[in-house]
Amino acid sequence: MNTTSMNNHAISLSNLTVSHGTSFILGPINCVLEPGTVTALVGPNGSGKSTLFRTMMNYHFPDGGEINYWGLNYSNDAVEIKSRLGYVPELSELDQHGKHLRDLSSFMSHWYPTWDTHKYNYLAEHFELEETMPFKQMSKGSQRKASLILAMSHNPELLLLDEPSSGLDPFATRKMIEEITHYMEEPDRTVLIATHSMDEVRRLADFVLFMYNGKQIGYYEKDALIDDWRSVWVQNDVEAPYSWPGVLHVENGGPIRVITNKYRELLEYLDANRIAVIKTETLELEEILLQLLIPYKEAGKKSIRR
Amino acid sequence: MPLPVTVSNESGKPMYQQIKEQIRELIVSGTLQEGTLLPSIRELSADLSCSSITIRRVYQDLENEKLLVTRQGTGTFVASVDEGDRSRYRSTAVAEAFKTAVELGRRMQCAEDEMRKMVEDLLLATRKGETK
Repeated sequence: MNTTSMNNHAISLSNLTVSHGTSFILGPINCVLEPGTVTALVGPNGSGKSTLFRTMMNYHFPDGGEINYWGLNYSNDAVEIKSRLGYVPELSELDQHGKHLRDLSSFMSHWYPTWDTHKYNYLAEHFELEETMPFKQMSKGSQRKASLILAMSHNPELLLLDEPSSGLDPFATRKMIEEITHYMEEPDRTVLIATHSMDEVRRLADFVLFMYNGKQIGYYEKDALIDDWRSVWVQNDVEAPYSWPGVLHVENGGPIRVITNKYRELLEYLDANRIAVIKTETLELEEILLQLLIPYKEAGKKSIRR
Repeated sequence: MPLPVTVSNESGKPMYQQIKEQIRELIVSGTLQEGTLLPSIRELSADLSCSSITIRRVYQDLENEKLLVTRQGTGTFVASVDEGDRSRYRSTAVAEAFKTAVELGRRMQCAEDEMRKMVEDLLLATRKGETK
């Protein structure tokens, strides 16, 4: 039965685990993506991001847990799920599926009831791709663009993008960001995008799903991260700064700099204790993520290098 | 259409507050005139590198203040601001700026007389040749 109830999460991953024989690969992943949101999937290489995507595409079966899309699952509704989502894999390898872009688009137009020729033509032109150039002759960047165009041209409700900008020059990346922004103008669409680019995360993401070594470090609202974490400089005749709210790191280089993940509480605390704040500064996203990783890394080296 | 709004990384205020205050000022000062179409939520979030959740909250708050109006399917527009509201918002905005400065002064343990003198000096210095 098809229900497109607004209460259904776009993606629901519960206790998802993947192994290879007895070797652990990833999990447990627990998160829920609501329609109308963009989530950036970030983590160092080898974190399991691509394995997660392949599992979500049913190319790889999980060993435990569940994947649901809009309340549907692969056992019962595989075709419907696939028809409502668009996927850009880690490697394009389009020449294994067709001669050139026009070839593949023609093929896909027969399979996807929502294929939008107008959109396809617009995107092919906008990204300046030659429809009849054989994929074997296409640069890696052009193949990436082609993958993205094919994924978007049937107006899917969900985009699963595995490092779509890898291999793209800065101009094409900018266009990609614009197109994803336009894509999200329609209500109830959802994007999960794996990326190494903090700029893409800043511009596109509402949420960040952070993975490391196959484990889920956390699922965060991006702006809450940016608002809660701060560098704060104070006078250097203070006691026990590590005991202050949220303080994870202390540096002494004249004035003392602390890093906190509870900025508002720290301000109140400093105010109540008459400790003057010299300056505050937001942390770069990558610094925040590095800090979040510290408990998970074996060698706990507690300093941040500027 | 990019808005002349910037998010500062030294302000100490949450992003949504900075953005809301700047847009409010643009509207109340008349820089953004009644009927101007604002960027979509997603466009503005991409421009300012913040999430659509933040922008949605800003637009919603400003709509509750009757400074913006959203027409379904068309977009979010600057509403009409009457003169009484305009001068009230103007003083609120300036009061907010004073509040931030005074709070900073207190944190830096600036004496009250010192702060008063600063304001006097500034008023004198900005009296001649002002642009507004």
